[in-house]
Amino acid sequence: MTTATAPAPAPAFRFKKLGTGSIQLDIGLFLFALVIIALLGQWAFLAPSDLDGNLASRLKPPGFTGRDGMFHIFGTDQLGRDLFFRVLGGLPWSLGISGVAVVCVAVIGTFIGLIGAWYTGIVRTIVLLGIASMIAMPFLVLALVVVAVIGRGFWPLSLTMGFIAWTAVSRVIYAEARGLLTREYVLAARLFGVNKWSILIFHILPGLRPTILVMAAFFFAVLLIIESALSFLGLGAPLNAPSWGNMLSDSRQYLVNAPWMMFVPATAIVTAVISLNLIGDGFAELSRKRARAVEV
Amino acid sequence: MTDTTDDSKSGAPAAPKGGSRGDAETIPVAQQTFQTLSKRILELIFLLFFISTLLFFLLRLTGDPAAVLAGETGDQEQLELIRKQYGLDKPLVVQYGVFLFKMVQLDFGSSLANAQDALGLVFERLPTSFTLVIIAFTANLIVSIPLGAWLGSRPDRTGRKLASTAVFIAQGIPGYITGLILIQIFAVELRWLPSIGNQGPLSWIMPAITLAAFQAPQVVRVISANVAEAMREDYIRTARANGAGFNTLLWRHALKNAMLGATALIGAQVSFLVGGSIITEVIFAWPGLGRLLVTSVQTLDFPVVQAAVFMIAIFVYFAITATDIVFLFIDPRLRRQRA
Amino acid sequence: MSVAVDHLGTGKSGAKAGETILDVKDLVVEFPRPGQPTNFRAVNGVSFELRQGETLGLVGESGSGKSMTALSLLGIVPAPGKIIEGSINLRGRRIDNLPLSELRKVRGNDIGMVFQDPMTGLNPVRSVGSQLTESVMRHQAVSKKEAIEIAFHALDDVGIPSPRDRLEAFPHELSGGLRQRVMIALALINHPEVIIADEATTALDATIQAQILDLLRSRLSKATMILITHDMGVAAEICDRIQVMYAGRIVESGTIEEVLTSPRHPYTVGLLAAVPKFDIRRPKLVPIPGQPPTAEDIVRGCPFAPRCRFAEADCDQRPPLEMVQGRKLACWHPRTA
Repeated sequence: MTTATAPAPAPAFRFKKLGTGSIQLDIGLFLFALVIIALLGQWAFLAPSDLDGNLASRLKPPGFTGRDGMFHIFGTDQLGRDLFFRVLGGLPWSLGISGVAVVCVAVIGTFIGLIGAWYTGIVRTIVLLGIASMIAMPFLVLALVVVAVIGRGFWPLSLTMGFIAWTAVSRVIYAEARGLLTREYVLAARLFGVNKWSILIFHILPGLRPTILVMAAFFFAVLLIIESALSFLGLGAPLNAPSWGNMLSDSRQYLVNAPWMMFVPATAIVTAVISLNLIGDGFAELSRKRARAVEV
Repeated sequence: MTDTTDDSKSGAPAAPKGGSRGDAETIPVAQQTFQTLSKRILELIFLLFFISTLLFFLLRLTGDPAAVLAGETGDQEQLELIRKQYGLDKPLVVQYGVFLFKMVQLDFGSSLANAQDALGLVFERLPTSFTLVIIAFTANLIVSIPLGAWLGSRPDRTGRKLASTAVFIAQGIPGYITGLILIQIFAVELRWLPSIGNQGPLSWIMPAITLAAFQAPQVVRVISANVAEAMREDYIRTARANGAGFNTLLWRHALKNAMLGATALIGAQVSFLVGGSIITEVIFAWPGLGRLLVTSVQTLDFPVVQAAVFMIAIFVYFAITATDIVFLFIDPRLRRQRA
Repeated sequence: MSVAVDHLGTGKSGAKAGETILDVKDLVVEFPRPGQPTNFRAVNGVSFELRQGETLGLVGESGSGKSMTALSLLGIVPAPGKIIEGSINLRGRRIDNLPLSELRKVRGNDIGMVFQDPMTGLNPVRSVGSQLTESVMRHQAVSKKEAIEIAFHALDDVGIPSPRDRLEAFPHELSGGLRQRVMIALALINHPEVIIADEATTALDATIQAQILDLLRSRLSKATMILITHDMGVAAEICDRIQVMYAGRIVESGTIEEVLTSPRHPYTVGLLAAVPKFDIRRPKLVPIPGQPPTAEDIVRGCPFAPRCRFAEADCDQRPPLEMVQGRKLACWHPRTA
C-alpha cells in the first residue's frame, strides 16, 4: 500500500514575516507611523519661532522662497506663517485632542457596556435607555453646547468629546458581552463562584479586545473629524493654535486668492482619517480571519 | 402515515422566536407600532431630561450663570437684575425644579441677543434646515443603495475593486472639506453656483451634496458588504437552481435582505445628517437652525441654544421613529402577523 | 386533506418508464487551490445513467463529491469551481455546455432540486407564494393569477395544510417540516423531468424526517429522482438503485438489494457496518478508521486504500469501475458476498 498523501513541503528557510497579514492594516500603520514620526520630530527640529509669520511674505503659494531666504514648501497663510510648519504644529492639537478623547471613549464605553451586560433589571434598563436615547443627539451638537459652557482648550475639548461619544461603543460592547456571557466557560466560572469583576476582566474583556481595537481606530477618525469641525466653528482649539480645523477656518476668507491654505490642512485631515480608517478595517479583517481560523 | 402534516410539535431548530407556527402568537402591526412609538417617546423624554439637567448643572458648576447670561459687558447692576429675573437668587433645588417645569412646557424664555421668543426663532429656521436634511437623506439613499448593491454583487471584479477603493477614500473626507472644495471649484473657479445663502433652487445643490457626500460612503460600504454576504446565502443558491438570472438574484433576492440588515444605520443617518448640517450651514452661510445654534453658542445665548437642542432632538427622534415604523411594515421578520 | 396526485414529479414530457432521461459521462469538477499548481478534483470522472421513474441514491461521506455532482447537473457549481471534462445529456440534449440563458431554462424547469437546509434555503424576507410564483412565471407562460393557482396546488400536493393562507406566510412563520415541504413544492412546481434531493431530510428532526421521507416515497414513487444522502438507511427506504461515492469517484453501483445485502467494495461494507441496527447479532457500530482525503491531499492509486483493511501492494494502481457480476465496482480486492 503505497498510496500516500503528499505532505506539504517544509520550507527550507523562511524570512521573518513582515507585516500583519492585512494589507489595509499595513498601509494604515505605515501612514500613521509617519504621522507619529512627524509628531516626535517637531519637538526636535521645530523652533517655536518657525510658527511665527512674516507679513512680508503673506499668502504666498507653495514653493515660494521669501526675501528672508525662507523656503515655504506648502506656501504661507494670511499672516505669512509657513503652512508646512503649521500643519506639523497642528499635530499635537488635532491628534492629541482626539487621542485623549478616544481613550476616554474606549474606557467609558467598554465599562458601561459591560455593566449593562452583567446586571439585569433597573441597571440594565437605565444603561440601555441611555445608550438608545443618545442616538438622536448628534455628537457635534452636544459637544458644541458643552464646550461653549466650559470653554475651549485642549483638555476641555478632549474630555468633552470623550464623555459624549462613548454611547456608540457601549452599544456594540453590550451586545458582544451579552453573547460572551452565555458561553460555557463563563457559565462554568459563575458556577464556581468566581467574583464578577474577575469574570468580566479575565473572561469577557479578552474576547472583546478585537472589537475594542476596531472601534477605537474608527472613533479616533470620527473624533478627529469632530475636533476639526469644532475648531472650524471657532469652538475648539484656542483661536491662535495651529490646529487643522483652525487653519481650515482661516482659509475660508482666502479661497479665491490662496486655495492652498485650504488644501494643505484638508490633506492633513484626510490623510489622518484615511489611515485611521485603514487601521480599523485592517483590525476588523484580521479578527474575522482569526474567527474563521478558530471555526475551521 | 399518509397525510400527516402535524409537524408543529417539532418546532424548528433555530426558528426565530415568536412563531414556529404561523398562527400561534400573533401581534397586530398596530400594536407593535404603538410599542415602538411608546418606547421611542420614553427614550426622547429621557434624553431631553438628561440634556436639560446637564446644561443646568454645567452652567452652575463652571461659574456664575448670571455672568454667562449677561455676557462680557454685564456690570454688577445688570447681574443683580438677571439674578432676580431668572430666579438665580433662590436655592439650587428650587431653581432646578422651576427650570424643569419650564422645560416641560417648552418655555425657554427669550433670546438674550434680541429679546425674541427663543422657540419662535427656532421654529422660523426649522423648515429650511430640515428640508436640507431630508433632501440630503433622500439623495444619499438614492445613490448609495444601487451603488452598494452593484459593488457588493461581484466584489472581486477589477472595476468594482477600484470603485470600492474610491468609496473608501471618500469616506475619509469630512463634509466641511467637501464643501470648501465644491465652493472652490463651482463658485470660485467656474462661477456656476452661488456659494452663499439660500437664493433659490441652485443654491441648494452644493449644501445638499456636501451633506450627503460625507454620509453616503458609509451607507455604500454597509450595503455592499451586506449584499456580498447575502449573495452567498443558501436562498440565492435555491433561486439559482430555479433558473433565476443575476439581476433577479441581486435586486429581488439579495438587496432586500441587505437593506433590512442596514435598518439601524439608515435610521441613524438622520442623526448624522443633522450633525453635519450644522457645519454645512455655516460653510454656505445658510439661514438654518444649525447656523442659529452656532451663533447662539458663540454668543452664549442659552435660551436659544436650549430651544434649538430640544427641537433637534425631537426632530431626529421623529425621523428615527418613522424609519422604525416603515421597516416594521417592510420587514416580515419584525412583523409578527397572522399568516 | 389532500389526495395523493399521481402525476407528481413525473415530468411533462411523458417519457416511458425505463427510458434514459439523464446520461452523465466522465464528469470532472475542479476547484483551483490557491498557491498550488494542481486543482482539487471534487468530482473525478463520474458516469451514470438515470432512467425514467427510478430513484437513484448517491451515497457517501461528506466531501465525497456527491453534492458537487448534483450541482454540476444544474451548472451551479459554486465559483471558482468548474466542470472541466465530461458531458451531461438530458433526454438526448447536451446541457453542460449550454449558454447561460439556455441553461437557466433547464434549472427548475427540467431539473428541480431540493436542498438540505430548509431554514436557510428560502428567502426570509419574501413570502412563500412570491418565491413559488416567481419560479412558475419564469418557466411557464401564465398570468400572475394562474401562477398563484399553480402555487396553491403545489403546496396542496406536498401536503401543506391550508395552503391558501400559507402562500402569504413568510418562511420564519413555518416549522422546519413545512419549510422543507415548501422547498419540495418549489422543486416540483414546474414538473421537472428529474428531481434532485440533496440531503433533503438531514437537517430535520427524526419524526419530521420520517414524514418527509414518507412524502418522497409515497407521492414521488413514480418520479425520476436522484437522492443524495450520507445515510444508508434513508437510501434503503426509497431508492431503486444506489451509487456509492468516495473521493469524487463512484466506487460501487448496483440495485439497492444487491448493494445492501452483499456489498462488495470495502468502503460500502464499512458504510453499512456504520448503520445502527436493531439486531442482537451485530451489537457494535463499526466506524471506518481514518478520514477521507481532503482537498489538500494528492491521491494516487485507490483513494480508499489508506483506510482499507484489505489493501495490498497493487492498490497503488487506480482500480477501474468495471462491471462485476451485474454491478459496477472499482476495487482490486472486492469482498465476496
